[in-house]
Amino acid sequence: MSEEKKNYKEQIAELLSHYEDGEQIFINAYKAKNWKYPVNLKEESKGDPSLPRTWIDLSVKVISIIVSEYGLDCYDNEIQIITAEQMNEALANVGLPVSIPHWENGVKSLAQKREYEENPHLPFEIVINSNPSIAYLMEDNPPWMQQLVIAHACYGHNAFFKNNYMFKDHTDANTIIDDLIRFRDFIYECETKYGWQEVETVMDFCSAMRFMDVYRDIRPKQYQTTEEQKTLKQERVQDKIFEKPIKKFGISKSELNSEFNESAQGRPEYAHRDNENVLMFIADNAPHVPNWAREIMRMRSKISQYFWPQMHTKVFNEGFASYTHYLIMTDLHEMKLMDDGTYLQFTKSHGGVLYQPEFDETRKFRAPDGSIKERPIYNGINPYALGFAIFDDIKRISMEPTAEDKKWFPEFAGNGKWWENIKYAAFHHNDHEGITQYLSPKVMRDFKFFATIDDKSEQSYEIGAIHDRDGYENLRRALAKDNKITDMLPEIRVHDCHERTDRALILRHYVRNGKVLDDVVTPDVLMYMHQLWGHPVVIESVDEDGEILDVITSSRDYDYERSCMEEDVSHYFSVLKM
Amino acid sequence: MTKVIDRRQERPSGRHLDNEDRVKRRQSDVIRDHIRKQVNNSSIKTFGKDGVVVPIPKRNMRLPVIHHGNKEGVDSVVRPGNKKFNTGDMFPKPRGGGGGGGGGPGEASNDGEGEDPYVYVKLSIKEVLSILFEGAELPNLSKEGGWSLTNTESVPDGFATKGPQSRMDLSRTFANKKGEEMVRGRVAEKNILRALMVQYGLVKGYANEEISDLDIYKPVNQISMIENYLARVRPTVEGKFSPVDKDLLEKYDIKLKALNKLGSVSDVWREEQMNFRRERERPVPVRQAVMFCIMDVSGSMDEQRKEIAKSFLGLLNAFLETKYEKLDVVFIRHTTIADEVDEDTFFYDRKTGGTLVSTAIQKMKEIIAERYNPSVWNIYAAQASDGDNWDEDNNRCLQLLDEELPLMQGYFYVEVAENSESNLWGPYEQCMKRHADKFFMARASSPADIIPVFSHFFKKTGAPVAKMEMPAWMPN
Repeated sequence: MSEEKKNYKEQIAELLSHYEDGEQIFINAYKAKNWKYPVNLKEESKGDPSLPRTWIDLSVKVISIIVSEYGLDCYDNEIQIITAEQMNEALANVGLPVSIPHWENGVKSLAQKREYEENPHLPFEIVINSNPSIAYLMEDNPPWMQQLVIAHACYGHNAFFKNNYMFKDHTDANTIIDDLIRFRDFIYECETKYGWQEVETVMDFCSAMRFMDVYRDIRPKQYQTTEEQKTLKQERVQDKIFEKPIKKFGISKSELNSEFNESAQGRPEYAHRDNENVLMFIADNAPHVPNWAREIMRMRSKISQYFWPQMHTKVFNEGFASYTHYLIMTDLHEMKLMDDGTYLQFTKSHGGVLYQPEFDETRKFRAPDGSIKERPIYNGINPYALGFAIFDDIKRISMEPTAEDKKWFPEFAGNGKWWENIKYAAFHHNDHEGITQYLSPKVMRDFKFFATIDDKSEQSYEIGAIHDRDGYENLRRALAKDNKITDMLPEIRVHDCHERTDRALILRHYVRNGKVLDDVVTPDVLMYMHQLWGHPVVIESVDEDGEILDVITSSRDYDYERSCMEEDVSHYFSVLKM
Repeated sequence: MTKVIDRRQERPSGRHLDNEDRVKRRQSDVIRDHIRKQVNNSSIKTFGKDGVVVPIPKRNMRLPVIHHGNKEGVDSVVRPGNKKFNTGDMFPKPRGGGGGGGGGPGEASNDGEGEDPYVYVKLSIKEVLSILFEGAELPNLSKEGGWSLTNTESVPDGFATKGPQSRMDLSRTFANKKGEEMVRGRVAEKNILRALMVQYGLVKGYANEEISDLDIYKPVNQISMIENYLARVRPTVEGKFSPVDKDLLEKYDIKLKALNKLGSVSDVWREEQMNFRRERERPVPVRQAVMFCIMDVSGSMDEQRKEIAKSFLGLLNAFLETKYEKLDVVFIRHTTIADEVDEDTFFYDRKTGGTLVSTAIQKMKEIIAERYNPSVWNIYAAQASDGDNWDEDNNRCLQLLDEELPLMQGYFYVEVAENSESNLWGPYEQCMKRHADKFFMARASSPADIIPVFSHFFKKTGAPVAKMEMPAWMPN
């Protein structure tokens, strides 16, 4: 790599030689504390249109040369430099440039405004997973910070978005902005045609279906709403009454009959059974819902799917981006493009971001009344710190493995290809998988991790494992489980539907570790579902052995047992007739 | 490829404003309650002049999301910073907060500590008033001729060649300029061709060669063809011209120069090409009203009663302001004598004495006769009193009211007293029977009664009245 590295250094040196300030151009800007520092081309280079004309452009160019040396494949970048007000606007909408018309987004916006009034502290950047990838940089970042966030967001996150398998599987960066615009316009259209109350009901329902509106493992290929739109148009022309029979969970009638004939006993196994995307199931099969509402549900599901991988890759995404900016800034410093003072400023900021407070750490602060108080600052494990530590340790293991590392990571310990190993780890794992595979004993020792077992019925925690020889395995498993989003969210799947009698929809909650559903909120959610499904909705809680623990119904006077019996009887007679 | 866009000069897109309006629409009940409460608690004159901030509890605005209950089950959480624990140790749970922990998204929807439980909605004064007077209707809103022509508005009135830059009609001006250029070019072309043909004929006579395929119906080609010919051939025969031909050639040289200049496109904008939108001032009718505030300031009206009267009058004032473009307010206070005073004196000056209501009505009558012609003014009066009056004076009051009410749009009487029959109440009830459409009366014993009294006065009758403007987000 040393020869190549020389090569890219030459490239940068050649690029900078076109400018009057030469290799001092970054340092001069740091001193001027102005990222609008004027870059003056030398007289003979003025005609070359390919040379960057602004300081930011030049920084991007230099960083991109370094990045291409590391072999990172990124989307094109669109860097937008924005003011605090614009940043507030973007924050209220998780960075997306299009705001979906719903009051929930209004609440977010109002809350964000208030928060900014009380505590004027904003992030340095936001980047969103689109193609081209849009990054917002704050205007008041100092020059070195602009370079840092360009390296962090426009190359670190960007490469992660493009290459990580979860983002590849679940999101479509090319179309997300267009989808959002189409969705927004569609909602406005529906509001004028069918009334805002109707649309709001559907949107509220979709919000209440949060975490039940994604395909958790894989996104089906035909996950497009265009076809539905075609039929939607036709139906609008024909002005049909929106009522459709339950489609037998997606199986046509003839298929169904043949299935009955084959096995006259027992109920058929439905194709869409165990569908964890309940929202999509309702969109496809709800009997009394107009087609525009189905379209809204599908689009909402699509947006949720877009955010799904982000929840799963917090540690690795932030860790990889932090590691990228660390590499790039260090390279800049090594090439003497950055002076020591600025590098010190960078390391200070970098260390602050990566700081991991201990679980009982407190910090003193001055209360409004003047007295000095202590408050705990621990707020969970810092994903930046953990991710960065894991990647840094992969480098160490690749280059200078100890005997322990060789035992734990025989696949790559000491193979020298540290950057390849890091890229492989980042792009082929989510947090859960990555931690399971790459968390080394050294990182556990450095963090002094310990696992606590919290039995809700006990008064105190029990220490399950600590960073010792017996504990590493358990500790790693426990930390990986902490980062497994699917374990934290209740697993609810479509189970059945009484399509012969009262059309009740039966969902199943698969109980893990004795965690049952919150009994206050669940009936409320079921009420929303009842409203849209048009018939009773039931959630059964089932434990690992298949035993039904609890049944929650959407209306209190609904007799679920009787409904099940009637359904069975009617099924029995229908089978007899054939 | 990287694109850098400096968006700092752009204004914020305001893309959330629509959604913020949706919040207001959804929480209009909370907002309405809050504003009504504020009205009761604060003085109406200063209320909401800079808009009002309404806190809305976040719990109203949260949709249910299915999550695990946190009463049962076993969790394991990994924490950093072990100092003394060993496997199997126990340590007590922290009280209150859940001890941080992994904080999964399912738990993230719970209230974090220190989180502000409210969102704050800002309402402009216009929105506040429209909520306050939502569903209120002004009886006899406008009578025939209840307006004046003091205001004017600008209306479009054709085009002119002179005017201020700001009113320039660009599309018309460009069209003029373009059209003129086209015409000038075409005319000049024809004349140039003619002149060139003359020169060509002259030169051809002296030279041996000619242009074979000359077609005068294609001016553009021919012009260049002849020009080329002349440029090539004319110098060769320069010495041979006869004096007459030479003069002619030179004459046409000058002509061509002028024609070329005419045909060339000029960047100068001439005055004749410019078009400006002309505007004309047209008088517009302004609905105008005068409101007489009449208050008893005799000794029996204590501070608390005055406060109630003040709230009512202020509210009525704000209400009329939303209805009329121009509103005059006249303050009349009375004891045994009535005088017209300014606002501060009316509300805050102390005066004591007996009570003669008729003097105030007499005063109002005089002012109407003097200043407010009933044919162009809508006249309202609001009287606040504790109901004390000399018995002999009541008849005089009724007599005056019978005279004045036909001229007026409404007379509102608020008795600021506890529920007891006062000696003004009975006679006024008779008056109300006679003038049911104009005379309104009610009793208010505490500030909380103001809004009910107000809605009693202005309840919807169903009669067609000009509608008040509502903000877009208020549900119908």
